[in-house]
Amino acid sequence: MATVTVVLVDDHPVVHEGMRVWLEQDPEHRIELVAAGADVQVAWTGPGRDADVVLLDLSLHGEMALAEVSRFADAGRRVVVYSEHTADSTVLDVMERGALAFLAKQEARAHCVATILAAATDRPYVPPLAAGTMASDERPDRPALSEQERTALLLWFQSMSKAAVAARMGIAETTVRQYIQRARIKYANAGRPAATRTQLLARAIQDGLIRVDEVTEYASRASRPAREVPAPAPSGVVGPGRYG
Amino acid sequence: MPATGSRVARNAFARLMARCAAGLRVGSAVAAGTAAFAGLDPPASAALVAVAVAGAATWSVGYAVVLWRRPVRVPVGLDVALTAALCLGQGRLVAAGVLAGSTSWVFLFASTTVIISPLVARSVVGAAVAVAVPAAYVVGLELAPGAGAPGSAVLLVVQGVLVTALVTVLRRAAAAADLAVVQREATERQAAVQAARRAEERESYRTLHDSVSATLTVVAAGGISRRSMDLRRQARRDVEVIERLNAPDGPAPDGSPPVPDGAAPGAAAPGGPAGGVGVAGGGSELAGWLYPVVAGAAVAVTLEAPIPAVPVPPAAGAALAGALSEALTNVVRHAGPARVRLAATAADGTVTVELTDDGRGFDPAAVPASCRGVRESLVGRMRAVDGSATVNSRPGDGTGVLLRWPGDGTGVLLRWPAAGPTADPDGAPGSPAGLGDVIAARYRRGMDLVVILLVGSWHASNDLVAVVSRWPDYRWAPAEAAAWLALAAIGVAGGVRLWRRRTGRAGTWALAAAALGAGAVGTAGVPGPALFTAAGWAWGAVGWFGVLLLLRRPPRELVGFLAINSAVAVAVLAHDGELDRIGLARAATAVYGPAALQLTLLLAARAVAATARSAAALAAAEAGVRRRRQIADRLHADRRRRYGMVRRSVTPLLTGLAEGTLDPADRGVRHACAVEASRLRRLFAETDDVAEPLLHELRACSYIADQRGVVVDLQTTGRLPRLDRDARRALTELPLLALAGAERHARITVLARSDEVAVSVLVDGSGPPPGPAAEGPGVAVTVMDGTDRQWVEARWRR
Repeated sequence: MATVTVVLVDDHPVVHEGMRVWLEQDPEHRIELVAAGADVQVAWTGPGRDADVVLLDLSLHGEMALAEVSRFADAGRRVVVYSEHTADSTVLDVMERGALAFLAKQEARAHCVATILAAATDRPYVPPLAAGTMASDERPDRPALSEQERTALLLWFQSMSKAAVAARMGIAETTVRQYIQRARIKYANAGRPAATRTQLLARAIQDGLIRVDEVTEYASRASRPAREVPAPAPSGVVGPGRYG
Repeated sequence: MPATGSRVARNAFARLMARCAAGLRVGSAVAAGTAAFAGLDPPASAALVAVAVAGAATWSVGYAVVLWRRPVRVPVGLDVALTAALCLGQGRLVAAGVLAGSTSWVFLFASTTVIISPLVARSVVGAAVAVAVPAAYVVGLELAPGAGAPGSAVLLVVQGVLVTALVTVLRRAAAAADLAVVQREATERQAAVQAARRAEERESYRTLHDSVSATLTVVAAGGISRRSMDLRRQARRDVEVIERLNAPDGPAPDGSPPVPDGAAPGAAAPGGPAGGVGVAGGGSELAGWLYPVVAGAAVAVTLEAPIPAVPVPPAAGAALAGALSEALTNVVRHAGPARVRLAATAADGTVTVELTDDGRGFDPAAVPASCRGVRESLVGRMRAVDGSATVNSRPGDGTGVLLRWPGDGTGVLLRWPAAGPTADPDGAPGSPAGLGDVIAARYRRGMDLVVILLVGSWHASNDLVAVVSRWPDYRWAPAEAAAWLALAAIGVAGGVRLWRRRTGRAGTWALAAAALGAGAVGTAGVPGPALFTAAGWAWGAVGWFGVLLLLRRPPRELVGFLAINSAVAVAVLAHDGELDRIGLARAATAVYGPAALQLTLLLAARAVAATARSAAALAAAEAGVRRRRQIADRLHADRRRRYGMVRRSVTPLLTGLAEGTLDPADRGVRHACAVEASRLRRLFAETDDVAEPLLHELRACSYIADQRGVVVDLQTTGRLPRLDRDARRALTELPLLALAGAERHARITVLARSDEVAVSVLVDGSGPPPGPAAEGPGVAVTVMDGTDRQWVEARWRR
């Protein structure tokens, strides 16, 4: 019973195979890989054109496809970037361009299902490495994270277990999740406008992660009609709650 | 005379000047006495002259002895007083005809006093003497009946002022040289101490790596039985290695190679010589170094030929033995079952040791940077003695290790590696020659300048005035003007050559001959009776031009030059019938005074460099002692700091293994070995010069886990701030303990901000809890124990 469709852009055939296997790990088989190809065309034509989520390998044919990230995001396509290039600047740049998530290749196996399911509903999911990058961010114009949010990001980066983070911080697991998501929304709220980012903020307001008056002028000015998205499943069933 | 680092050049200069002064004083007494008796004529009375000459000679000898010994206070006053007495009494001591000119024996004695006083006293005193003695001379002339104008007193003043100026300039040069020497010595000492510490550290880490660390790694990896006698023997030897490294005076860093046999060459000289300098190891022959290694190896080695019994320096022998030992250890550890062959040859002074096996082989490019075996123990060790080590291997194709030591050119001469505590603390770059050259070069410039200025100013003033003012007195005056111009041109050329350090024989003597010729023309134009007055300028001037031209030539050349010049004057005297008894006495006096001064100047210029070098040798020796002492102190402190920890934690473990009370198959023992081996690897990694030392050391900490088959994942975010070693140790200690307990997976994360660094390790399995967690400066630690995993974090905050 597939509810989410994905198109994969990666120039290594063996990765297509691996990703297929990883996506099938989901016991409920909620994700269907509808198309895969070595070129971004696969996501703009045929079955890939209507896929809910674009899974994009950052290095295509020996080059960093950063411009492609912007193109997808500006078109309102929910793009999840995965890459072995995990330099802090790359991770932040990818998020800045409107990708919903950055997934390091070595954590793809463990986190791809949760990331894609969250992205499909315009919800933030932060894989551990991106969490570490946000927690160590020292750029002068970085979003202002609270101490708790930063701690949650750091411990999540270290332990890869929200239960462990909750135990360490002495708070509920749902609160840990909220801290991480809020931190991610703050990053979405500060920066260049992109359709995906607007969708992310809209959903965050809906979910109560952020209030309307907290959304910056910048982002609201960039609002544009959201693309038609599948009706969100009740939180806790499909949403990131279960896997995040 | 103890020369300290700060007064070497000045002391050397002062000693040289004192000796020149002593020589001039005695020489002047002899010459003046001879002239006094040779030219004895009324109103001088023989009795009075005898008393005066005897007194002057006695004093001169005594004064010379005093000067030679260089007392703190030189009795310049007495010398001046005696000279003044002679000057005042010259009306009764000097023949009437000689009185007014600059050729009386009293003038010669007075002139010498004026010249030597600035050499041995402060410049102020020298200047005072240059006034006092001429004053007494003038008064003495006034007291004498019928004496002429006291013009020659001016000459005394000029002499005193010039010499005072010369000495002042040279003293400045000496002071500048001293300063340079001090600065140089300080930097060199610092560099030597640093180099020694680093070399010692690296060498002792090589030793530890090959012995203690290797043993602990093997035990940690498992598979060693309690019954292994090899392990017990090795553990016992390892304990000895630690004890040796920990000893207050330590082993010579080239030290006993950690060969797996009690009969190691190094064992023949227990502890090594004090201060780490000298020869360690009884086996001075290649065979003596290598056989024990081969015999003690845990694998059978086939020798292709007997190891040659050629002599090698201990440093090279120890390096070859240590490298071979490490290569054999690697064969045992990595090659699997293999046949091992060894070929050692010595030809043309080059020693070649080749070890080959037909075992598993490996990919040399895939060896991580934190793996020290090949890099440090083989390559580093051989490079330290200017040798080389190459490893050829391919997976499945066996391994070949080639060690080459190219000899040191002599085959047997002991030479030590360039950087290290054994690298002769007295040696280059702080060598005596180097230090002496610094001083000598400073002097040389000062001396050249002084001579050029002296000759130039003399020619432009005294000589020019003489030519113009005595114009009517000459036989043919235009010849005098031509001679003056020719000498001026020769002086310019000679000065330029001297400054540019061009002192070739042909060019120099071409100018010298020209100077003699011009001088002869000038001198021949002077009537005999006027020769020793101002009119005879050319004859005196040529002597100084000789000094200018021949300053950097052997002294005999100046002697020859002055002899020719004097012969010209004597020929003129003879031609004009002036060569009677008094004329000869005047000529002798006139020749001796300037010639003595000119030769002294030349000898001083030459001796100053040699004296500077010998004084510098003394200074360098003292500096060497200081340096050696400081090196020894620092090394001792380093050792205490470094091995205190190793000794406390590793020695009990090894002792237990050696005595069989600890079971190498026991999980706890293996864990403890893994911890200690990791700590040693971290210690080694701390000496490496890398961009991110914390990450480098974390990789070193995870090396043992990696060896045990644990999959280690290292993730970093953020930019690491600079952390000192203590902070890094505190940050890595808890992760190190956790990694030692990992079973299959370990995740290391490093999150860095400018004011915070968090190092975390997540491991599977429930290994032993990581003991009392090490907190360090500014580092807080957290341990989260789960049922099937353990999560630790060390966090540093600024």
